[in-house]
Amino acid sequence: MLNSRPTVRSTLKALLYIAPLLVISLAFTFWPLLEAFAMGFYRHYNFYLNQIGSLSLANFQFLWHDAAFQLALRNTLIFIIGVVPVSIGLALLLALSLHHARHFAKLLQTIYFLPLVTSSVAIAIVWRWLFSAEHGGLNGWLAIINRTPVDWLNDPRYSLLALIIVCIWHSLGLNIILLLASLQQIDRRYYLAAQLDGANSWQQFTNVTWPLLTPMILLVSINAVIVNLKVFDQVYALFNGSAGPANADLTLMYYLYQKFYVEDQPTIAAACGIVLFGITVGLTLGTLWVLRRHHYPQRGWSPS
Amino acid sequence: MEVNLKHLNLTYPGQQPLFQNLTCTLADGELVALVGPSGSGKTTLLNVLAGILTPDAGQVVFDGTDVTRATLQRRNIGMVFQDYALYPHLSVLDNIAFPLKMAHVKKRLRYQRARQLAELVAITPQLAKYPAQLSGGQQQRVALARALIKQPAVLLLDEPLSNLDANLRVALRTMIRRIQRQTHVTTVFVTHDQNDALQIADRIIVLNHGKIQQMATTTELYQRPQNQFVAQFIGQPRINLIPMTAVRPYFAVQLAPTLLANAVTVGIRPEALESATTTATTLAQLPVRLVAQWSVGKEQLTTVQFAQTTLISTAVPATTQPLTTTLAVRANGCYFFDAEGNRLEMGVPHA
Repeated sequence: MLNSRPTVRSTLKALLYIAPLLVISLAFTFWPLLEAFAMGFYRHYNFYLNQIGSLSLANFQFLWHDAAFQLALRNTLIFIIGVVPVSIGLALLLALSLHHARHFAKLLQTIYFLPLVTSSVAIAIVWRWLFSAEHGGLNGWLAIINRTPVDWLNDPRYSLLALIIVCIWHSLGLNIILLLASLQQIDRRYYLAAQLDGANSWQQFTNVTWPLLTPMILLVSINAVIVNLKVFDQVYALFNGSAGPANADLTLMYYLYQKFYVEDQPTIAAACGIVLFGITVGLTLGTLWVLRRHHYPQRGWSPS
Repeated sequence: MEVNLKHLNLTYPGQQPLFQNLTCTLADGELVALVGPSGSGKTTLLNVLAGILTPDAGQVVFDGTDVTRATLQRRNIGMVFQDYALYPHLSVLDNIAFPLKMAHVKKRLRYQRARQLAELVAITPQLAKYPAQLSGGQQQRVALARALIKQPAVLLLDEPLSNLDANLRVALRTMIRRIQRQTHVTTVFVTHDQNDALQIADRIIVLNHGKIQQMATTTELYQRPQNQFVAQFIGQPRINLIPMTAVRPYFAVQLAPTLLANAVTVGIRPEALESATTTATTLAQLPVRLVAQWSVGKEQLTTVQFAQTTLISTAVPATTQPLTTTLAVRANGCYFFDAEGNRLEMGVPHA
């Protein structure tokens, strides 16, 4: 069996095995994807009758000049810049503490993981209470340190910050678990060797932990960027089905949703989807490029 | 640097005590091999020296300074781990220079030193490579250079040769010996292969069940083993052990009465069991039945059956003699052990 080469017959047989899933994937994932992609270029399109007027770039021109789209793009970028670094920095800090915790490590891990398995709508509802202007928990703390209360969810100056806080907290769980797993993978003997080589705790972190953790940090970063570019349900639930006060929390995904479901403009929504797709691919490739630069030969490389 | 271990006690949680009142001294610039079977405490002792483990009681003293509670960083130990523990994300050059980087030595200077060390262990052509691209022997040499670069007080090698093939072992242990002579660093190396130990060590510590059985030079260990364990552990092929009662009728000389009274086991080195040509040094003559003969390299091995015991000899020439014959036991290479396994002095045998 091990020496057998693929033949037409064996390939067909293999194809038969994967056919059920392949058919489902093609029909429900790839086809709609292609359709949606094409739809971004349709003009005078009747969604229900599938009548296409003509192909053009008019939808993208519309997006370019649309103030709401510009706002959504701006909000999304601010949101990403606000969420990703803080979330990963915090997750790294917590993962390191958990890694060195002697007691209750498992319990604490579970607690930090909980946000991930809780529905984002339930989370948003709890946070709505925390953010509430009069009885909210956050304002309670602000009162303790003698700061004027903030109307988190109704003040356009703070509502994007409120969304950022919720999403940082929500993404912590997965990031902590991934970083913790990666930390536990690092061979203890590297630390022994480093200590014998005279490294203090900080030097051990910068010279052993950080470089060996870099691949996972980049992976977590890519994932965080992709997930947060698509932020929608937290907005929807936190602001009760609106995009926040004065559209202050209008994200690209929310814009897309509005265009498609509310304003009945599927081609604009599709064009927005393409833009979102482009941003995602761009950021991912950028991160991969950085990852490539940090690559060192792993075991299994044959010596030249 | 002289190393003193004084009255060490160490017990792993939930186990029998491993070290009890363990004491020994390593002279400055000495190469000491630590041998013993698995679980005898070799690696534990090495870890105590390194500071990875702290003994429950007793002292570790380097040149008169008590370092028992000193941290790993402060002991100035160079260590080569069994699987080398090279930093996978650093090139060979950076791996070797790492200890100097930790000591904030300027980049130019530390690379210069690293290149010198690389020259010493003959790894210069691989300086730009990463550990994963190196063979086991190359990794071992990098680890050695990294351990030596900061001019350690003590160099510890944990089974440095065990992952290497036979040819490489010999080449590398010779290199370790040469470098150790050159740098004059007090070195302890753990091995389970007595050959490595016998070939390069100044002195050997034989460890069993956490007790030092004997600490002596190669020759002394072989010729004057303290006890039955050492006699059995050192020497290839192994020493023959026969109950005293079986040998007693065949002695050619008068043995001291105390020896006769206390000896329980007789040990005979394979080379001390010769074809019967009785000389002044012959201790006994054993009637045996030839079982098999074969040769390994230049060594001629013979197994014979004596009473209930199978004996092995390296001093019987290839022969087509009758199957039953008599073999002479040479006094030099024959030992008597008491019930506890301690070697008894033979005294002067008289004819």
